[in-house]
Amino acid sequence: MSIQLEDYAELLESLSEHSRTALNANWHEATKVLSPRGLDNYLKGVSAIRGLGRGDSLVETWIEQAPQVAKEVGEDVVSDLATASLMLASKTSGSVIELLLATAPTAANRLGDAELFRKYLQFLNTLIAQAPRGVRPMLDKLEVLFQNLTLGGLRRWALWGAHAHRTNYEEQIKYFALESKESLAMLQKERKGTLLVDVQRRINMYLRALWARDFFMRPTAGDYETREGLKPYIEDYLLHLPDAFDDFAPEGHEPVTGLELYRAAAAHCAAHVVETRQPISAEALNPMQMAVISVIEDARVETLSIRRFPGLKAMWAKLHTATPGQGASMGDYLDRLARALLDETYRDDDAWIVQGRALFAQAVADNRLADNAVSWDIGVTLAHSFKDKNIPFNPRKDVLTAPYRDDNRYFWEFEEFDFDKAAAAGYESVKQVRKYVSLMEMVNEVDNELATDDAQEIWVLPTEFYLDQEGVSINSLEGKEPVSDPFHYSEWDYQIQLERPAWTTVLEKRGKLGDIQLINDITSQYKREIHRMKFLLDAMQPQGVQRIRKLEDGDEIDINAAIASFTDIRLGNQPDPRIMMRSVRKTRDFSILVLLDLSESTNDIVHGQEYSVLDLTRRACVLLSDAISKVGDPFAIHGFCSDGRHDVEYYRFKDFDQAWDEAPKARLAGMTGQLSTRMGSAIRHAGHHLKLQRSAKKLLIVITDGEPADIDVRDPQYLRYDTKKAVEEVAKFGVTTYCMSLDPRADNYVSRIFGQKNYMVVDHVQRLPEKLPLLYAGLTR
Amino acid sequence: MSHIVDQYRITKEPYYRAVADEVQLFEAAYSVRMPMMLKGPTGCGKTRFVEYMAHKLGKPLITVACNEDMTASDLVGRFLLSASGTEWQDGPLAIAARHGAICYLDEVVEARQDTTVVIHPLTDNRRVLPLEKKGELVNAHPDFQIVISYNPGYQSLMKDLKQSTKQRFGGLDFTYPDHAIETEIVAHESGVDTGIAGKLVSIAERSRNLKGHGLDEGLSTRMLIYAGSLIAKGVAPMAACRVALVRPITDDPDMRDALDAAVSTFF
Repeated sequence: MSIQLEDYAELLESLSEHSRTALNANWHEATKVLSPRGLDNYLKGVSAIRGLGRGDSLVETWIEQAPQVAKEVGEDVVSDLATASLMLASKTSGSVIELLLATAPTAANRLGDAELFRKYLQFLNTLIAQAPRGVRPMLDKLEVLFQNLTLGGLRRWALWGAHAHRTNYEEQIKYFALESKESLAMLQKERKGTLLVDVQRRINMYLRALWARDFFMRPTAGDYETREGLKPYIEDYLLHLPDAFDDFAPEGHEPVTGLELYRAAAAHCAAHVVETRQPISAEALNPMQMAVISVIEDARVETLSIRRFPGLKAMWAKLHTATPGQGASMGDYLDRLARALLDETYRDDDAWIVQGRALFAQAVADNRLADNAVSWDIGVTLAHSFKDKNIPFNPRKDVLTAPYRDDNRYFWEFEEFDFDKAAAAGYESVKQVRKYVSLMEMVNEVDNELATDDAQEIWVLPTEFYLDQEGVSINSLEGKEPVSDPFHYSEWDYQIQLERPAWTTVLEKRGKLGDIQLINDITSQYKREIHRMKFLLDAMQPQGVQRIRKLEDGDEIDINAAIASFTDIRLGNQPDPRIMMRSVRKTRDFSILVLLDLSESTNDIVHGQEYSVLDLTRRACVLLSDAISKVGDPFAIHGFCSDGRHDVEYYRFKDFDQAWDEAPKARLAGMTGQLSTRMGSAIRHAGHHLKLQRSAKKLLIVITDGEPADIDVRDPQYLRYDTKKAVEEVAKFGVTTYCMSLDPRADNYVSRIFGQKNYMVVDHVQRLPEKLPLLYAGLTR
Repeated sequence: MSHIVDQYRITKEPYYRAVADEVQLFEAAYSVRMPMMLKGPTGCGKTRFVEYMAHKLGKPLITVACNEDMTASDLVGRFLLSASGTEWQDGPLAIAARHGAICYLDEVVEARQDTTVVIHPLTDNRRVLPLEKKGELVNAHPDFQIVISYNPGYQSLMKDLKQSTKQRFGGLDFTYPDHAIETEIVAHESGVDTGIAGKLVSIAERSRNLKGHGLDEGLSTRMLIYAGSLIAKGVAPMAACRVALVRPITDDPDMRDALDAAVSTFF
């Protein structure tokens, strides 16, 4: 399904001339970042905002900025942004909404997550009710604010200001424009600590080093109403950690950095995942018993981990601050118990703590720690004896204060708990099986007419079974066209900084044949360019054997030099000892693979011309193939497009060992553009083909008209990072990747993906056919 | 006659802690003069093993560190210019074959494939080395044996042995030893007590978990011995691990930080 602007004639009618021009200008950009559904939402937004009747300028701001926001945090937020704008309309002026839309891409960029962005919109809605005059100056300073604050910090900063200057509008404006002293002071106070995104990779490596397995981590926007934020927790087998940790510096204790705190929290959660192998039954337990059992279970997994990694003890112990003096609530006692069980240097003579220590020590001595039933036993006993203290238990307030401890929902949530799943969390993938069956099995099986392409099992006959019709086999009749066995490639997820193994499926398909006349026409059309290139190419022919003379230790004696030296010896002169020579074979040892982006957008007509980008790409390939086949390097032309991660289609128009003759020419003529651009997997597959080549130097030229994108990926950064990773991966096999981009705005992302030197942006798309062979000549000289 | 090779004799017994039956296997292979190939990650004791075996068998050992620029003449020998004319200089392989030494080609895949082909006639039942420039056919001494080593881990696909080369050798796989044995080795070689050696080995095991996840290779036994020696000289354990283990193995700041943290969970 694709959406054409022309289909929305009614909407276009209602817009002013100026807005219509703006929409037309931004449409191309919008189609790149938005799916058909997103485009629909985008256009609905246009008409809704138009309906507010606050002028063209507001409508145009929406038209320009909404795709930018989608580009940063995904298209799902477009409708939320529209709704938020509409809600604000009753509370504030059009120019403030305009400012909100204009700064939305900045906010989206800084927050980098759709969920956080939604919360940001909610926050604006709240703020506008409390400090209507403050919103405009604040949006003006948004960039500065987000540089210094998390969303939670911004919220606290803004609400403090709104509260302090509720009626004094002048002060309110000053506060929000960052012009008053207290405004800056509050900003300083709320300045964010260590962010998880900054240290995630380190923590990941740290956990992997310790436990030899991967743990998946997610940030949670916990720090909201208070500085404390959410406790870490484990859910769906993923470790959820707060998005920012401040340095932990209680009075009278050595300060602990945010990074250390992250390590402690992650190590504690990982200890749970590793050591809690059976859930603890919560049946017949009251909340107080559960709280005590939690403390014992924490101590159990920590003790087991400390046995393996003694240094963890010091790290965790630093974060416990309970002292024997604290005894007001049950929470204090739980803190003291937690500290006592972890740190044997901690002295506490309270009878209950002593009892807890003794019971735990007994369990250690009895070697019962491997089973968490021991936590249950000790916990219940202790909870019973705690009743003597007559201190009430408040499940909401009496929680542990050590900031690294998770809330232990992990082992209480026993429903459908599957520890195999816990180990495999984050890896899940659906595989389609191609099952080879015998003829009789195939005949006996009832065909399922409702099964679609993504059926779990596809049956294939091991040998071709031809029907009565000429040259048609069952196998080729069943599918649309014969496909190769699937190739699975991993993909890089930058958010978790890990690879998702076997994440994408690349299927090699046979390209359709086209009319070869098309190719011959191209050759005759570009006769002049081909002739001009001839001289350039002649200079690149292999050189053959070269002799390096005047060596002291070569492989052979250079007779002339030897005779000259002996003449010198006989004459009594100092001889030249450099009489050896070595033969070096100078060969061109290149393999070149040209990888074409065949996505839907290549069907776009080149501005002001009659032909499409695909036509140009084809011409460029023909010229390049002519050039390379003259020089004699082995080369291949492949293309790709994708339809989600399960279907990356890969076409081989010309293979390395194939001559540049009718067959590849016809296939190139039949090349079509469709679907999306999952570039990373295609590069990995192209790398696989290049790997099989024996040349010393391998060159992969990627020709694309846009950035990586696919229908099942909302986060635009994801595929960019994956492509960068793919380029690095194939580089390990000695493949140099070079990108030719036809997207005139490509500079910023293309250089990040392919490296500073390895790309070229073709400004005049029309000149691609001449440029490509020149690029080849330049790169391989 | 064989005074040239005397310099290659190993006089003092090198320390080697057998992990499995590799010593017996090698002795058996030597008794039938089967060429041997030692595979394993860097710093796990391949070279030490060859030295130990050469000493045990009482044979001189000629080691050649292979590199990409090495040519066949570097192995076989070449004519050099002297006052009286040209003079043939045997290469290390020719010396070993002539005088009956064990010739050890270290990291053999680093040499180009056309270079390694010169060892072929020596590695089958012919046991000869043709010196074509000199017009001589050297019949290998009965004591001669050829041993090659390489690290299958980090070589690229470009660098692999030809099938025709591979199939002339018997192979021994080397890996890092078990915790207890590695601890013993580190303690013996570096002079630290087994407690510290055990911690060093645990650190190395952590780093081996990261292989392929940011590290190309885990910490080798050799690095642990370096770290241990520093500790034995009175350097603080954290500092010694930083200098001898973490800093050399990676340039990635995140990885360095993760490894430092792993070290600190032990010291």
